[in-house]
Amino acid sequence: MKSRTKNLLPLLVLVIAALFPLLVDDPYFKHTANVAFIFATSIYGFNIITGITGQLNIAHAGFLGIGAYTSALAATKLGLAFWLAMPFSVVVTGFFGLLIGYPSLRLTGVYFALTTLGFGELIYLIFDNWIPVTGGPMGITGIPAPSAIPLPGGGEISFGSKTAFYYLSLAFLMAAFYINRQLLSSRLGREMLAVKENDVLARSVGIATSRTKLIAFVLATMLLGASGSLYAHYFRFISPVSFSITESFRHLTMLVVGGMGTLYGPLIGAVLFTLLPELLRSVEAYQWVAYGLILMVCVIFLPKGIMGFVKQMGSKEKRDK
Amino acid sequence: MWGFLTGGAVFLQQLINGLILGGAYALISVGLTMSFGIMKISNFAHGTIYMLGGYACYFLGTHLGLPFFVSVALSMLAIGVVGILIERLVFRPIYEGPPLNDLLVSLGLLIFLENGVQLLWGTETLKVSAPYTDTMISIFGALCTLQRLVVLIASVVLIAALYVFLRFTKMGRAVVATSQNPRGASLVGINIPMIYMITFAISSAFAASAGALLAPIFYVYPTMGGMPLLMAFVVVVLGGMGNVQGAVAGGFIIGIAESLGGAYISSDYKNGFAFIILIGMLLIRPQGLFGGKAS
Repeated sequence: MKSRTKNLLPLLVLVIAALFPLLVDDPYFKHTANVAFIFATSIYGFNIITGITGQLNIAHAGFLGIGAYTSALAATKLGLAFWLAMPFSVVVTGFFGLLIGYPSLRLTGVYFALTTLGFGELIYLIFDNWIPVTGGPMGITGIPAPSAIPLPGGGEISFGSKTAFYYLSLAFLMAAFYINRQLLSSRLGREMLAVKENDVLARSVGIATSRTKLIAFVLATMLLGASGSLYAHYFRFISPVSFSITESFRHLTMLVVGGMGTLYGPLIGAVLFTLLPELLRSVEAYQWVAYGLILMVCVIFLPKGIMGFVKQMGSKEKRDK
Repeated sequence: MWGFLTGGAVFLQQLINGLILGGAYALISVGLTMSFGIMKISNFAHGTIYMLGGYACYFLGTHLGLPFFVSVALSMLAIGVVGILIERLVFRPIYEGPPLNDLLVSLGLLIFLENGVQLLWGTETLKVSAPYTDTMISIFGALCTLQRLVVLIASVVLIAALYVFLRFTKMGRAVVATSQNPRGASLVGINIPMIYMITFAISSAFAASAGALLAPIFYVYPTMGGMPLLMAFVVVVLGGMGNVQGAVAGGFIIGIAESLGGAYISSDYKNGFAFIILIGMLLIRPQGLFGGKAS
């Protein structure tokens, strides 16, 4: 019975998600959903390295930026279609992940966080200052929307509309969710969890911790390459401010509130934090003060986020019965 | 001959600048390394506490018109009390938690305080007046304002006071004992939560002293703690995490390296030298210059 409800839940969520654009016609809500899905995809990447493996990657937004800039440059300068630019940016971002991850993952805890802070700042400075390539603070404009897919019958699926893009970002989100799900139920994922719990102990039971961390990092950055590419081709415009350290902190808050290392946490965090600022527009000035406060309160009182709280409530209910 | 002399003067000038910068770095880093060594937390909000020191000095000195040294002393006191509150409310609940929690909670604190100050007093830079900013003095041909010399002297005095406290007072020796072996310290009757509170109060007061002393030279604004925080982490890594003498030595090394590197190599990449030292140290000798074996 339990396993059946476990399998039914994602299916139910998926059906609701698939019907959403048919039920809600407001383009503004569709836009908000698209933004939430793009962020959720990137936070699933964050979840792999920080939530599951426990390594605080402050260069998170920088890697999202590498994905976005690679795809945008491939599309605007080389004329590649989204369908080629996207996998290209996955490979490039993953390569940078390998390049930066290899030396920095030899360090643990605050040392790793600081090194990624340095790399995050460096990536941002390159976006901001390498004007001939990145356009500097002005960014890159005129990024094309994903090109239409021709159908055998003569028709085509175009991605110009918000509804069509909704299904594209939903597909990306599902892929990211699936990767996290597979990871959490695999030996590799459990090794990553062991590294998070206790690095030294994990090594003593024969886990190649450096290798495990590097796999997590490269996997995470590849996912960021995909979501960065999606970001660039949805907004059609990118600039360095979207990929600064501050942005990493915002995504981190979403991850922590949703639930680090959980399967639904990144989705809940991303949806919540995309809707909340929209609803609380009148108090926008207090947004960052609220982020800081939420992050502190959540770590102290809900260390496993909303998902951890839900799980705890669920198991308590069962015990009471 | 003449060229040699001016070359020597330039070197001396940069060396003095480096010493002054180093004194301030030492003050900031001593606090960071103490909270790391004793409470086992990595405090990302340390630069923000430095910033609060600058603002406290601004309000006490420029608004209330108190003399400069009185405002610096009162800033240390006020921010020390803020430190006690922070320790009690933010860090105490997470000592037993998973290792990532100190980073997350102090990041939250950083975001909260920085944006809170920005909301209350705006983003513009505030000028703090001090009596010594206009007096120039000459040391063997090298010029510096009296204010900068005051920073150096004050940091040496404060560090000496901390040394006396840790070495010769009962409370200070209890702090050292806790950093060496918390369980042993608690067995001989040392009140560990009390020691944590005192440690964080000292850590905050020292960061605040640097913010207050430098305020008349660098101005005061909400994000002023960013660079000093990174520099303090570089210094702490250089000196060995938790090592107070190491932090003092590291502070002066980084200050002088930044000053000489900026003068002789490139002033655009002044901050870059510290990062090169940081990444190099982390990869080659993560336990610091004066540390024992790698952890």
